[in-house]
Amino acid sequence: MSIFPPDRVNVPSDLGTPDIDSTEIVTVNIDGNLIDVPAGTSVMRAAALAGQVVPKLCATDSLDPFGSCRLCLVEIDGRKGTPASCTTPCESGMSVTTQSPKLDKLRKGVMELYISDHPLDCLTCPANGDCELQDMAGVVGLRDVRYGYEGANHLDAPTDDSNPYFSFDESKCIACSRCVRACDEIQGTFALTISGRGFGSKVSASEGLKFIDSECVSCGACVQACPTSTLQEKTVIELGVPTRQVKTTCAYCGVGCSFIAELRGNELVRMVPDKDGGANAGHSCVKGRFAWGYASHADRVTEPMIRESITDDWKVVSWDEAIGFAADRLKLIQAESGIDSIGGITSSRCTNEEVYVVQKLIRAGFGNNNVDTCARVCHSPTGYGLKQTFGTSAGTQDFQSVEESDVILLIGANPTDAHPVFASRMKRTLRKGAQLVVVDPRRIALVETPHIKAAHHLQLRPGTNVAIVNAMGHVVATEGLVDTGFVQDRCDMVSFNAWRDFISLPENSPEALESVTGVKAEELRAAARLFASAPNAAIYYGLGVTEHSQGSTMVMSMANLAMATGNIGRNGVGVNPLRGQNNVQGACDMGSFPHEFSGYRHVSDDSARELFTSLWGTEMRAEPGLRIPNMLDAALTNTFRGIYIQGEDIAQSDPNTEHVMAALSAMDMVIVQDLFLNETSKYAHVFLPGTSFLEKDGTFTNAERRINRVRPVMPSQTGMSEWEVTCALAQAMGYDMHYNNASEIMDEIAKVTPTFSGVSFAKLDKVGSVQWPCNDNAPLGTPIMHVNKFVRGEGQFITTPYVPTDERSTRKYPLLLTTGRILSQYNVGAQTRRTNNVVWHQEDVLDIHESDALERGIADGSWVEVSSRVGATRLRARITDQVPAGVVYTTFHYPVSGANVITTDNSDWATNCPEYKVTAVQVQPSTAMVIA
Amino acid sequence: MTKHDPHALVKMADQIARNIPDRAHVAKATSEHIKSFWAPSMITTLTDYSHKHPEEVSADVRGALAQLAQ
Repeated sequence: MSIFPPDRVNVPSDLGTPDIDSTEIVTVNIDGNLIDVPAGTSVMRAAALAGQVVPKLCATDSLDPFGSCRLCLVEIDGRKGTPASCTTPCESGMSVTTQSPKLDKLRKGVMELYISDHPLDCLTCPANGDCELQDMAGVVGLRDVRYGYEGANHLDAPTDDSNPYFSFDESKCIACSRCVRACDEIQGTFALTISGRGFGSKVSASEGLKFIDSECVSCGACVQACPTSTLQEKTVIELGVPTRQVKTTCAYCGVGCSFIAELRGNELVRMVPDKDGGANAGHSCVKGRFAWGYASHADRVTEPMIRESITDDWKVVSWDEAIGFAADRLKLIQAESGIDSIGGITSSRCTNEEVYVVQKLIRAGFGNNNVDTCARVCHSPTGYGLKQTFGTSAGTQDFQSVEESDVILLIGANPTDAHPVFASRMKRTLRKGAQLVVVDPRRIALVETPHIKAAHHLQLRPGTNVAIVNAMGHVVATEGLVDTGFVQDRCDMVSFNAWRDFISLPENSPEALESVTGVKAEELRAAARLFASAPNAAIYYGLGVTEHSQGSTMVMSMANLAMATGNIGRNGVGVNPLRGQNNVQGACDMGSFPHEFSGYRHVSDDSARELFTSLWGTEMRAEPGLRIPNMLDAALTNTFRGIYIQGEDIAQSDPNTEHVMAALSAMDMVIVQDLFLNETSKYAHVFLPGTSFLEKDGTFTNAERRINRVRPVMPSQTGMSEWEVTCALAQAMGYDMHYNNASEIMDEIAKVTPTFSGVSFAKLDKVGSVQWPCNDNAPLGTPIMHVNKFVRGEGQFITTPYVPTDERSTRKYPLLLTTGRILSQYNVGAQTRRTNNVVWHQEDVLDIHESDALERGIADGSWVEVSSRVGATRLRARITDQVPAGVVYTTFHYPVSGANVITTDNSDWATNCPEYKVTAVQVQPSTAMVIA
Repeated sequence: MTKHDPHALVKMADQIARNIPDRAHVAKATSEHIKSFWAPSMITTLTDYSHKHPEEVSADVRGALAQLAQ
């Protein structure tokens, strides 16, 4: 006998049952070979690790064992019968036989029964060559079916084609329940069930509805789990089984899921979530899994275009002509109006490498620091607040950390819609017993969803976040709930004492703030006690925190709460921003803010400036440049006249649209680099076609600081990489910027950015992904930050007085509008509106409470006019109790909705992040739809 | 030099001053914040405006601008 270490045998890709987290090791004998496995490991998994494939159908290692198919039977010495290997845990000294004449006969009999009620159309089946039922029939050596096909069967069962992305062919279902379990265990939606009994058992969406009408969220987990062609991607049905694979990263939200792009030639057939993906561990959402068709949409612009004036028609030109035209005009503007008269905006939808070269072009080629990024309008307060308190501008945890949380404080975030794959991970933790506190004006799905009910929903008035968290801090400080050991060991005591004195003031008590926040003091106290007394309590938050006039203050107040309760520096705790776009973190890391170089070093830092001056061969400015709103304001004085906008539609996404349009109209050179003509390109003089994520070569950094490779799945439709275009513009401007490939750009990033010094394409290709800081001290990255020491040394408490926003409801504008995102659409909708996701969301609507609707004579589905002090638009009303009386809500996925026509230019005091979440409005019935 | 709407800058600076956590040293902290995050042209515009219309600029912001001038 010999011991088989797993790395020396031919281990299958699917081990049948999940890994077991146990330090106790047991040794079992599998077909004469000894293997050590963690206690609790199934016999099936142990056999697979020993290189013995036990036939299976209902088992897969992404789901808990179920034991229904009876194909994985084994014999165990000293035990009666033939137990299912998937549901039998290994015990020390156990001796297992996986192959014997008896088992062969049993398995063949089971397969005969399955096949006797299954269409024999393998050669024309979409899953031909990719079907586990077909594979297992071969493994058990099935050659004949004794029972025939007469009598009752399911061969004529109907097919449900209602979902735009996948088909449900009931005739091919073997009722293994993998889809039902995937929906329950992985996605956590519980949309599927097995209805009926015995022979009548069948998979049912929401108990008998079509998939499109059911609670199904189209995450694809069921399709992924199906071992036959029952649940099948329509693209596979139409195009055939893929023939090659490329591993890459999703370009939608900040979760940054890893996918395997599967193609036939250069035609993408499907995107399959990667089991080894650090962020998603094999799960996906409807956007990443299915909504990639925009990349080949007919609206794509693939040739450069220019025009003298924004009233002219576009003229298609060569790359040389477009870049020459842009560069000449930019140089002329600088000659006429000074070096500071131009600038640029980087995009969170682009790779780190693409972002890096744009900010380098601006700092070195334009000669100023007028670079900003779309994080200005979303998570800039996160960067500011966490740097002040902890010392670095990033979240503290990896996503996996949430699995060890006992209490989750979720503030201003709606992860089931905006970060669905992380939401599924969070829901698993909650189903295991973790407690949830939701702080949100809206009743988001997580407040109450199958098998989850929040312990507290603090339904605050929009704009009172800081008051809420200050009140929680007050409870902690005045009820003896401070983790004094942590604070004394890890934090700056002078700042702590100042914070404790401030937060203990009666004005910060829940009772004093009840009239401000609208949250009952007793409930807030209970929530604070729950958070503070949990062994592991974590804070997760979204744009409902940052997009306020006190966004930065709120981030610091949450950091105070986490430090005071000792919830920093280990698994299960932390302060965690859920970033909106795929590369918001990366765009910020790369030096996209006007006051910082890459790695968050201020431009006034002499040593940093010397480094860049030396490497880039040109003097760096020591003073900050202009932020986006400052650029737009200066444009209206005709002193800021040219802008290079990388992958961003500011005319739709930024607040106070009329102001943005006026500023863009006033400029003499607006360059837009994007996939599609958009609202901003209406004001552009040069359009440089961009590349989709399927054509990019580079890296994205997700919300957990994970740097993932983005690999070119297909050739660029424009013939150029975006970074090559940026380099060409730099050359035309007279600044020599050249790289041979994207890998060289990352090498330069690593050279100049201490937190990236250990990052290279070669390392990422070898290890999959790393979380920064990745350097000599942490060559494989840093999943959890501030473990023994804060990056800044000692944690800094900061007093956070609540200052009400200037934006208040009045008699003229009595309601407060807040905005957000829904599951099927993404931001301004440029991508998702060009996919079949439109079947779920064809227009933005205004959510309004019944009492507000009744008061105004508004019927459900009727048109209403929404007006604020800066503008008005029209939307269709949806009467719902998801919003409280006094609050209305809408999304901004369609330009025609004009949601940002009504948002104001109020912003966060520290960062100018717009106050999207609070706009005083009036809503009145309207008779006609008018394009905003 | 880029020019800016002084009224917008007055509003921004006043908002910073109102939100500075360290209430005992508002002018100093406001000046440090502005120096860290504002382009020089913005500071110049606000300073010029403050000299011409001191009544429209809060005492804290004027104090911050005085510190920036040192």
